[in-house]
Parts: sequence; structure tokens; C-alpha cells
Amino acid sequence: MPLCGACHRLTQKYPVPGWVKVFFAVVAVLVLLGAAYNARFALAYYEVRRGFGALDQGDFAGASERFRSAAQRVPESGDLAALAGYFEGVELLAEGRSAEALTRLRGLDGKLPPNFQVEEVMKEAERGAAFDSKDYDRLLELSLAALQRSPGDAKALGAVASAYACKFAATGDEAFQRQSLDYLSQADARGGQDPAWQEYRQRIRHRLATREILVPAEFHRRYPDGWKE
Amino acid sequence: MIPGFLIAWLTFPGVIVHEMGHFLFCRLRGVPVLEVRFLRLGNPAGYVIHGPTANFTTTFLVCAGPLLVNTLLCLLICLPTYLPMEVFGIKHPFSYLLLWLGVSIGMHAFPSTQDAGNLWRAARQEAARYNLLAILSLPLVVLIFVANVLSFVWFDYLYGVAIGIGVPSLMF
Repeated sequence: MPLCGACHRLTQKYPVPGWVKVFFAVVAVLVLLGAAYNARFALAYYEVRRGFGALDQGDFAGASERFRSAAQRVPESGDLAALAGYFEGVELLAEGRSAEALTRLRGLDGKLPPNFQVEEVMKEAERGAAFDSKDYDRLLELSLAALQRSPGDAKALGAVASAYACKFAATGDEAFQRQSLDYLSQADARGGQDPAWQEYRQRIRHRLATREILVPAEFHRRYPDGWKE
Repeated sequence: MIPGFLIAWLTFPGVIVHEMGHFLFCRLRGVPVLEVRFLRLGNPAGYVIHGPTANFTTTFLVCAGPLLVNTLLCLLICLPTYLPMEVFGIKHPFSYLLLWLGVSIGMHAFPSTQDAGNLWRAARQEAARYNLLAILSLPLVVLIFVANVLSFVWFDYLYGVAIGIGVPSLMF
């Protein structure tokens, strides 16, 4: 197609209308704004993924920190707030701060999938809070209720033995001691040589032997190599 | 049945980007551009009239340019909205604006039947000379024809949704 020099230059540099340039400038601004506005969601998403990765490796504190950070990045997400609250609650529970854990966990039931077992964790926090406040009647009541939900479970049997041991330590009533020993032997039969159970068992035996109720941290401080009867 | 011009105007960013896809590759490959309408009332809603191309690669790029440009831009715009909307369930008006923009652009990705016809003729000639790109582009041209036929059942819209929402869902 023969073209004169001026026409050839025009076809090679066909002008783009001003409004089209404005259109693409607006699209570019929207793309940049979209990326900037949504960056926090991407960061929160990767925090959540790293949190679950930490959980897989057993790094509970690390996971809790990641979920908390994710929730802070997207405060309007109820799901993230629930996730962060749950792990914060469980972390508090592990630190023996049961009353604070209970406060943190309240209201989370129904906001997380069933496999999180929020209700169970809350009941454990309630038991911890009753123990911390020396409300041993409430502790026994909650432990018996837990055993009813999981009959024959070594941990639940141990919790009842622990509650009766507390009642014995507080009152000196030997009926409670016998009850505690009875549940302890049932738990023993199911708990076996599991180290976590053996440690829990040792604290209950110490309580029955000394009538002194120690929190786990104090028990481990006093008997770093374990307590011997 | 919604008139085509109405769909084109409701999704006008896609029309503009589509024509820019043709125009851009004409510029990049030194193809003379004789006339461009980025958006207009009428059918088609936009067009690029260009001179002959020097080789098959240029023909391919000029014809299929919108498929590449619109698809990539659709993904680029929609991708950031996926996490807040689908993962965190936060429906912000700005995200809807980006989704409309992205899907509008994505649904105009397919070249027209006229583009596909030009590409088909050139591809057949070059395929006879064992041009690999030409051989590979034959099924693509068939796909473009099929997509144009299926646009009556909103295939172009579904393509925009698939790129703008489907692809990010595979990524996260």
C-alpha cells in the first residue's frame, strides 16, 4: 500500500485520543489503589497460613501470634477475630490463667468449626478458673459433668480424682480421699505410661499425701525432678 | 435477549482495552494503523483498521492481542479483590467496582470472528510451510470461533468471570 512520507509517519504514530489516555490513567490508578487497599488482606492471609504452619510444627505460641497479627490487619473480619481469640484463650489456659482464658473464649462458640471444640476448651477453662479461685465444689461438679460427657476417658477420670483430692486437702474428709483414690486407679488403668498422665497423677498423689494444693508451676518449681512418695 | 450494543456499553472498559490490544501490537510490530475507534455507538462498538502485516507472527499478535491484554488486565484487577471478598467475606463497594472493571475487560478478551477469519487464513498458509506458531494457532482460532458463537449464551461473560474469579480461587 503506497503512502506518502507524512501519511506513513501518521500510520506509524497514530494519535491516541486524550480521553483514552485518561481512561488508561484511571485504570492504572484503580489497579494501584486496589493493590494498596487490599495488600493487608494478602498479608493477613499469609499470616493465617503461617499460623497453621506453626501449628503443624507444634509451635502453639507462634501460631497464636500469627493469628493475632492477622486479626489486627483485618479487624472487620469476625472469623479472624474468633480465630485469634480462640488461640489466645488456649494460650492463656496453657499458662494457667484460666479466668482470663474463659473471658477470652466466651462468645466464640458457634463462630468456629466444630473441630475447634470451643465448648470443651471453655469447660476446661471453667474448671481451671474454679481451681484458681479455690471453689472446689464447683471444680468437682464440672469434673463430674465432663466425665459424664466422656465416660471412661483417662483425662476426665483424672480430673475427678484431682477435684476429690482438692476437696480432701481443703476439708480433711477421708471420704473424699477414698473417692479420689478410686477414680485415680480407674484413670491409671486407662492412662497407662503416658508421660502427661504420669505428671498429672503425681500432682494428685502429692495433694493426697500432703493436703497441700499446688498450682502446676509451683509444683514443678519445688520438684523439678518429680515428687516421690 | 439483551442487545449487543447495551452489553458493550455496560462493559465499555473491555471494548476500549480490546481495541488497545490490537492497537498496541500494531505499534509494537510497526504495522500501519489507518483508523481506530476505541468506543462508539454502533456495531462494532470499536475497531482498528490497519495495513498489511509483514509476517505471520505479527498477524498473530495483532489479531490475538486482546486475548492476551484483556486476560492479563482482568486478572490483575480482579486478583486483589478475591481475598477480601471470598476468603474474608468482606464486601466493600470498591471491590465490586474493581470486579466490574476486571470482568468487563475479561469478557471482551476474545477477538472478533473477523479477526479470527484473518488469522485462520494466514495460519493455514503458514501451517502448510510448517510454521510452528501457525500450526499451534489453528486450534486457538477454532476456540475463538467457538467462543464467538457461544457468546449468545454468555460465554464471553463466563470467560471474564473464570479469569477474574476462577483463576484467583485456584491460587488461594
